[in-house]
Amino acid sequence: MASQKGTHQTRGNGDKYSVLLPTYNERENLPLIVWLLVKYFGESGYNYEIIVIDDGSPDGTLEMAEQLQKIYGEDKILLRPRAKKLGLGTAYIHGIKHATGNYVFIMDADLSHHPKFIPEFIEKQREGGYDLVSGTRYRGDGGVYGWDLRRKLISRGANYVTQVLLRPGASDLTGSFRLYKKEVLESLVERCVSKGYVFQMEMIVRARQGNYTIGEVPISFVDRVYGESKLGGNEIVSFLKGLLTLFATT
Amino acid sequence: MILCGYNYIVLVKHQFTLGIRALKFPIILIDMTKLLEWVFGISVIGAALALVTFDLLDMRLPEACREVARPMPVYLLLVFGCYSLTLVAYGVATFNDCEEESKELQAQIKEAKEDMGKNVLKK
Repeated sequence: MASQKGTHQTRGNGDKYSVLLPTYNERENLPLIVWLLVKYFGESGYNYEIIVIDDGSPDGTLEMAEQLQKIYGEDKILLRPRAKKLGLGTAYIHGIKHATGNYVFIMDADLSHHPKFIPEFIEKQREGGYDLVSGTRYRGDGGVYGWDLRRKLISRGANYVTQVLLRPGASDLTGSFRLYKKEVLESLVERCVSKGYVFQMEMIVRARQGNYTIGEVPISFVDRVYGESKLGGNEIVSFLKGLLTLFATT
Repeated sequence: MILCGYNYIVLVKHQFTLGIRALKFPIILIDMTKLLEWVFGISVIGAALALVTFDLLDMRLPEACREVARPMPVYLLLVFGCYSLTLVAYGVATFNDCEEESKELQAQIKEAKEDMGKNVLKK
């Protein structure tokens, strides 16, 4: 890849961005997220690939991904399916194994994270040479759509408790829209033991422990109607357990 | 010792205010877990307050000093509690509602579906 001066259309200086998309029953959303990714990466001129890690979705997500592969090309859409739901950490490990990029994006495939922020992530990373750039809903223009007062209260309250206890150096710990340097992601995922969104928290905490630099980009999180997720008592309890474990062990 | 404790409180409050970059405690020499840091910090403050309240070193401080130190633990907890509630309430009140983003997303979904339709994608 020949290096170019910074014109808006082509930004080739050897960097390639792999987007990891763990999916489970995302047959409806997958073509949409891929379309948006292709649009924003195309417009910004960065080199990229999309890695779909499907955990044996019964709704035909993998077939949809194969169709998308035919449309966009096997160099742009890579499939790394697994037999069944095995968890996020292992999905990342599995996905990075054949990633050819030197940077890795992680994001949700259900359209709650909008690819339009991708160029902002990349610019932020270049600006500060950060090891990881985290999308935050709590700073700047960041925010959410579709949350009622109860959800916002729980979210802010939990985030405050986390900030007090862990002092993590990032404002949004449970967010999962992030850009990592590939070697940083590999090193962090190996060290993390939690599940679910405590896993995302642990990634940031371990990054802080390892003295990795963290940048932030405000993002909007649009909670979609395609799948209602209630924040019930169980989730709160497991969050607290995870938080206390991190508090006592890091 | 008291001054040390006072500086510690200021540092701790300063940290909560900043919230982003963790300041290094000047007293920490080894790599402690957060739990240990809290235990250590609270012990330091507790020791300082106990020292003054119960006059453990026979320093014969003026009565005014002891009067201030006595309710300090409860007072500090209350202040911290109110401060926390205020921050969380402020956060909830200023939590951005991304109306625009949602509309933009809906419009883009429509656009994407039409575009995909041309590629004979089974939906």
